[in-house]
Amino acid sequence: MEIDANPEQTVDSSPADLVARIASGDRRAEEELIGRYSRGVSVILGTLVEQRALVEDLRQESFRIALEKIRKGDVREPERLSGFICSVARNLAIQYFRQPAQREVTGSTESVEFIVDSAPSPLQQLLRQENARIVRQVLSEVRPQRYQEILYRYYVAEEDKEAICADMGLSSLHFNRVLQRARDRYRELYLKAAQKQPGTIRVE
Amino acid sequence: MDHREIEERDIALFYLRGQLSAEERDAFEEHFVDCRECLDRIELLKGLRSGLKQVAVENAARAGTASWGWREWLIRLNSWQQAAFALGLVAAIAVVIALPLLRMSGELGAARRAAAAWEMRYHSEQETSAKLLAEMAANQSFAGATIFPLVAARSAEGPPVNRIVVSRSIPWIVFSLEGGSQPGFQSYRAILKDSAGATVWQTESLSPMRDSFAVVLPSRLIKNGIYMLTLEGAKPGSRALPVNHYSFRASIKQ
Repeated sequence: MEIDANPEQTVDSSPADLVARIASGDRRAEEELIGRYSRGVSVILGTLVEQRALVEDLRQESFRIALEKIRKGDVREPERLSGFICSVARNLAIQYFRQPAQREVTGSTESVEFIVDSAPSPLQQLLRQENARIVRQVLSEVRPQRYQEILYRYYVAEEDKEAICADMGLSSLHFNRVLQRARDRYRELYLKAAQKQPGTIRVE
Repeated sequence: MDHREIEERDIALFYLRGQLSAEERDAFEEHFVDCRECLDRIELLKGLRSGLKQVAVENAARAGTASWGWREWLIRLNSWQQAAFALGLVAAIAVVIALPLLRMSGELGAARRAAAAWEMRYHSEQETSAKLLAEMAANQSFAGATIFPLVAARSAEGPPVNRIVVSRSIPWIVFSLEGGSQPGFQSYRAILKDSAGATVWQTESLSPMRDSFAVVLPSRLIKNGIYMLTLEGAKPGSRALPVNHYSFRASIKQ
C-alpha cells in the first residue's frame, strides 16, 4: 500500500491538451503525464502481477509505449487519454502472462529480461509486519469483539454483505458503520506510520 | 461512474476481489487512474485486506487451526490434547454431579485443587501454541531445517508417492515442491491436510523460486500418517485452482 504523506498540489491539464503538447514535442508534458498516471498504472498492474519488481518494469514499459504512440499521433480520442493509458498497461500485463507459454514451445530466450526474483525482499517483509501490526491494533479496538468477525468474513473470506448481516443479525447501516470505523482507524494509524518516514511508505 | 456510486456499491473492494464485469472494471480503471481520492481508497483497502489476511494466517498458526468452531477445534486437537480435554470434561462433570455429596470441606478442597491443576495444564497448552508463532517470527532463517523434495502425484487419490522421516530434534521442515510453477498464475498458496481431510497448515502468497516452491512449517505439526499437500494457483480475476498434489507418508523419529 502506498500513501502519499506529502501530496503536492498540481494544476492538471486537460487530457486533450496534454496529448497535443506531447505530440508537439513538449518534454514537460511527458513528465506531467507520467506524474499524473504513474500511481494509477501501478495499481492496475498490481492487481494483475504480484511481484513488485515486475510491476515496476511493466509500468515503465507502459509509459514508453504510451508516449511513443502519443508522439506519433496514434491516439484517436485524446479526451479519453485515461482509458488509453489503462488499456496499454493491461495489455502489456496480459502479454507478459502469455510469454512463458510461448517460451516453453519455442525454447526462445528472448524473454529472459522478464525473469525476476519473486521472493519478497527484507524491506518488504518488514513492511508487511508493520502493516500486520497496525491491523492487529485496529482489530483490538473493535467493540464488541465479535465484530472482528465482520472484517474477516467480508475482507478475507469474501462473503456477501447480506449473508453476514443475516447471520449476525445486523442491519446494513450497522454493518457499514463497523467497516467505516475500522477503515478510518486503519487510515489514521497508517498515516501516522507514514509520517515517521519522509515522503511515502509502501506496504504490499 | 461517480464517487457516490463507487462508495455505495463498494466498487473499489469488488475491483480488488476481481469481481467486477469487464465493462465495470474498465470504467472504474479509467476513472481511478486519474483520481487521487479513489487511488487512496483502493490502496487503503488493499493494505487492510493484506494485513487482515496475514493476521488471520498468523492466528491460525498460533492456534494450530484456522477454525472458529468449537467442534472443529476439538477435532483438530492432537490425541494428547483430546485426552486431556476429555479428562478435564469428565472431571468437571464428576465435580458437578458429586458436588451435593461432597459435604466435607476437605474433599471439596481437593476437587478445587484438581480443577486448578487442570486449568494450569490448559493454560500451559495455550502458551505452547502461542510460542509457535513467536518462534516463527524470531527464526526467519529457519536454521536447522530439513528439506524434503516432494514429487507431484498424478491425482489427489491413490497411495502416497513420497515418504519422509521427520526427526523431532529438527524444529523446522521445508517441503520443496518440484514443478509447481505454471504460466498465468498470479499467486499461489499451499494447504496441508491429514488423512482425515482436516487442514493441518495453510500458507498464502507463495512465490515460485525458479520452477519450484519452498513451504516452511514447524516439524511438530507432522505426526505419523499420510498427508496431502495441495498447491493452488489463482489467475487474475479468478478463484484459486489446484495446480499440483503432493501426497506423502510421514514417520516420526524421536
